[in-house]
Amino acid sequence: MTGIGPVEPVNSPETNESHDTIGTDAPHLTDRIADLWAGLTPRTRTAAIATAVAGAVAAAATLIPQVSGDSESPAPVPWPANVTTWRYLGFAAPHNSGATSGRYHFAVTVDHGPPVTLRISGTAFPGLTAHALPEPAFTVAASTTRKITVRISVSDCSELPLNADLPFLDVTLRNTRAIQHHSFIFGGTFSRDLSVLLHGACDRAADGPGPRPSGSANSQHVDGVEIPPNRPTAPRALVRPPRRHNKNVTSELAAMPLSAYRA
Amino acid sequence: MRRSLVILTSVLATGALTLTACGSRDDNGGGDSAGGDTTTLTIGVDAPLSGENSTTGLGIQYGAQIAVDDANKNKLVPGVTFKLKAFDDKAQPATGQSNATSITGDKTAVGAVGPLNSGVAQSMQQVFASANMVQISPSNTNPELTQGKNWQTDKKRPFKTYFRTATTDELQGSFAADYAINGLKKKSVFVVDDKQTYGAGLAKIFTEQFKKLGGKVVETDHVNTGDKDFGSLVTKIKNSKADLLYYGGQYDESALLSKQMKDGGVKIPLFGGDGMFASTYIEAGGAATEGDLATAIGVPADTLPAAKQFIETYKAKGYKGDYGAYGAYSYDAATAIINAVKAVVDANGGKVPTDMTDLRTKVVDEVQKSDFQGLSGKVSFDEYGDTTNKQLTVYQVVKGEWKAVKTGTADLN
Amino acid sequence: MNTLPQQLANGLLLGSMYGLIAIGYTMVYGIVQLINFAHGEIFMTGAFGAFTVYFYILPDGTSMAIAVPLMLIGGGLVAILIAVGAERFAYRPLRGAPRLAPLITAIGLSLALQEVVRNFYPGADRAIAFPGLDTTHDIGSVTIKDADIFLILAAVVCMAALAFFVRKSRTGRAMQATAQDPDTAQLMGIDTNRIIVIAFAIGGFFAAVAAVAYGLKYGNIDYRMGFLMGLKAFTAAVLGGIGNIYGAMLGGIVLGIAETLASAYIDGIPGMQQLGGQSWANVWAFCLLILVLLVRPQGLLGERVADRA
Repeated sequence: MTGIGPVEPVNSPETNESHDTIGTDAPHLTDRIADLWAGLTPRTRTAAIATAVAGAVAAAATLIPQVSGDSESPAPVPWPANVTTWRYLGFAAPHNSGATSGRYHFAVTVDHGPPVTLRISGTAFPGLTAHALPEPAFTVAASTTRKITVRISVSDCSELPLNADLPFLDVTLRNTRAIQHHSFIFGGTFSRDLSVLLHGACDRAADGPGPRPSGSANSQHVDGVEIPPNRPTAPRALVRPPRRHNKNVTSELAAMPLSAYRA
Repeated sequence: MRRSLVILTSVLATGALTLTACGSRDDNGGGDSAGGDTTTLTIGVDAPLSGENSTTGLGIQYGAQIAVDDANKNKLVPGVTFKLKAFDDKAQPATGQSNATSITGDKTAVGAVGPLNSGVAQSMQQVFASANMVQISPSNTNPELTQGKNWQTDKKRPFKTYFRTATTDELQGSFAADYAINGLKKKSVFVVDDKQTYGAGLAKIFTEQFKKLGGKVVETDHVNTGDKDFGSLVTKIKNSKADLLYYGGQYDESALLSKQMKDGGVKIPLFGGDGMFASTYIEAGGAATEGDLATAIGVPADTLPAAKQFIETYKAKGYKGDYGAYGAYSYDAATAIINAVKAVVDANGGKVPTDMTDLRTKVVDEVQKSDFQGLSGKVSFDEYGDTTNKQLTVYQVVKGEWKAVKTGTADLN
Repeated sequence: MNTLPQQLANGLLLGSMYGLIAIGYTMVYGIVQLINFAHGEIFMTGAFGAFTVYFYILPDGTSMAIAVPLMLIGGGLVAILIAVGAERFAYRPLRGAPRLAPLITAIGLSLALQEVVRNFYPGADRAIAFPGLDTTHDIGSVTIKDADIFLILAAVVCMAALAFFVRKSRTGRAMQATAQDPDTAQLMGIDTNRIIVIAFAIGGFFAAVAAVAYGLKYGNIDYRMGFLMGLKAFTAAVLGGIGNIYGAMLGGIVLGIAETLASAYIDGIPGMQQLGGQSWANVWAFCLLILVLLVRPQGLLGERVADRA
């Protein structure tokens, strides 16, 4: 007897030994319940069934609306920054190279959820101000795209890097879910176009009536037209112009407030 | 005799200890209950699951795990049960490569999620490309991975099987530089990196952008991953009179560096990238990390209503690691693969293609066409395999917790 | 600002820690000619022992003045227990076996200890925050904190006590005798097994002292902290002359200062920018080791002895 081996068949031919099947002599639980049930009086049975049915109905009545409420409600209200996209379209109006402000077109899309109200609170650098025209705040409804115009003004050349790669707009977004401060960052085209404005406004100031940025010729283009790159970023951009103040101060630029999410 | 023993011993020991236990840990939580006609397809996950970077690595593993469980529970692809197989790369490129080989060698594998580290990804890309198997990283941020070595001048996609749900360091470094200049009003920075693909790449982009915006980089230095004592470096930082320390690398070193720097009397904030955006950074660095900053990909998970369920599941299951940094992106990466399989199966008349090579190739094509609402927002990929959802957040340690201080969305056209 | 005093202080602190750990390597090697590669892990378990005392045994808010000595005792006990246990169960059965056998055992033990701590100590799969002594003091142009003062004091006290013990006490002299010639020492009535156990225990305790200093200084501990520190301490022991306890401390300090100065100043030398900085510190430290071994193969304070093997 090793204690390890094949399980012996219950009805082996050479049986003299007795097989104990565990639980054979005890009645099955189901049988016992059936016996119990059969032993009840008909009245009691009816009452038990009625109670069970009533309980089930009550449970279903309380649970089902919750469950379906959970599963049927569409995705919860999204935070505004996560459904809003900005796309740069192009110059809005021709501006000459000496101008200290420019207008730019953007397409603002809200993907889904409640309408989002936007207000531009600032732009890439101190020394630049931006606001939407004609109203500083505007609302975009779900699944729609709105074209807006942003006016960017140069107020102070001293701190401005002229060839920033990824300029952005600081925007306050609000919907029924939250108020968010968010930056929308733009690549290629907008950074070149903005650079035209900055060079136009600040190179002149710095260099006197020196050579104009050649890119200003392109500023005749309007919406949606692909603007060819200007001259390669010049090392001159690193030369800091002397501090000059108050070229057309349009407003004070407040520091970006800390993000205040509000549920 | 004795001296040569000492020398032999040193060589042996160094070698042996470097190769410590390069094993892989299997962890298939999905469990295929189904019998009958269901096909089991495997999704591989590769991330550091122990040691350095494991906090965020585990977040990747379990993020993908929840995606697979959800897909199986909802029978997203009828007749297919997905199984997750996790591999530990210990943040080592060589281990990552051998894991990639294991995954592609698995006859049931359709795709892979991971890795965490850009340097590890470099060694895995070719393996997946040869096997024509899709690989989606939730966290690699180095631009070269999708846009080629000369991404600044001439973008060229090196591998059509590689995708990522994370945005790139081009954006991250610029976002950080901008916040340092305009948000923090810092003008002179000391830049340190860990010489890894990710850390050095990020530090370089930050440096360029910071200079472009008019800031001054007073000095640079590099550390080794695994270094513990930064006394000498701290003295240099102190002497440089920088008002900000930028660190390109992971939290393991930066937490120690931040602590030693503050203890050494240099009270300037440390600013880093998504590699140090983890709760472990604060735990390991303690009170010294107060005021430190990190950029991270995506927006805070608590502003993503779709992620609520995910976070609850993650907590309820008691999964280890930190889902905050990449968990939702890992979920979306795994879901992108699952959706691609679904599209292939649907196009094939509801049957899983029997030829595995065929299935893998088609899944790559379908992942490229991905377009669905994931936890982190819209999931779709551009012609380089980069996500089109380019969101970033600057976090700061406030009262011992990461708090979002600035969020941004990019449109780089 | 002249950074040299501060950098020297940094190097001295780092070196003292290397030195404290190196004592363990050098004593064991001096007596049984065994390179106990698990010593780095004994250092690590000492840190975890001390942390256990602080976190699980002491009530919250215990003043550090009381906590630190208790942590030293707790960490010391754990480290001594593991060091002595390793000697008793891993190395003693292999006494007399070819030299590579105990060496490989040591490496295996080191991995085993790491994995045991990682898997069974709660939260040890990542860095654990250790209480720090972070009050800083400015002495001239040098900034140091309380943990640094603790480290220097601990190193000096430990070193002095060890020197006194080895020179003056009976056991210490027995230890010297065993190191010189174990067989003859045994014939003279010295219980060499006891001496070996004592050597392991002293090494373990010094490692625990270093571990507490490490925790107080760097503010966190993890299961792999022993690997690099152990390797550096072993280097320090070889540099100072393995087998010599003063050499271990001297080697540690030289190594620490060399590393610190290399990372601080080499990139300032014209044409050397690429070879300087923190990341090259180890390279320069090992260059120094090679140089010293070329000139003095027995190490800085090592004695030239005829090979016994």
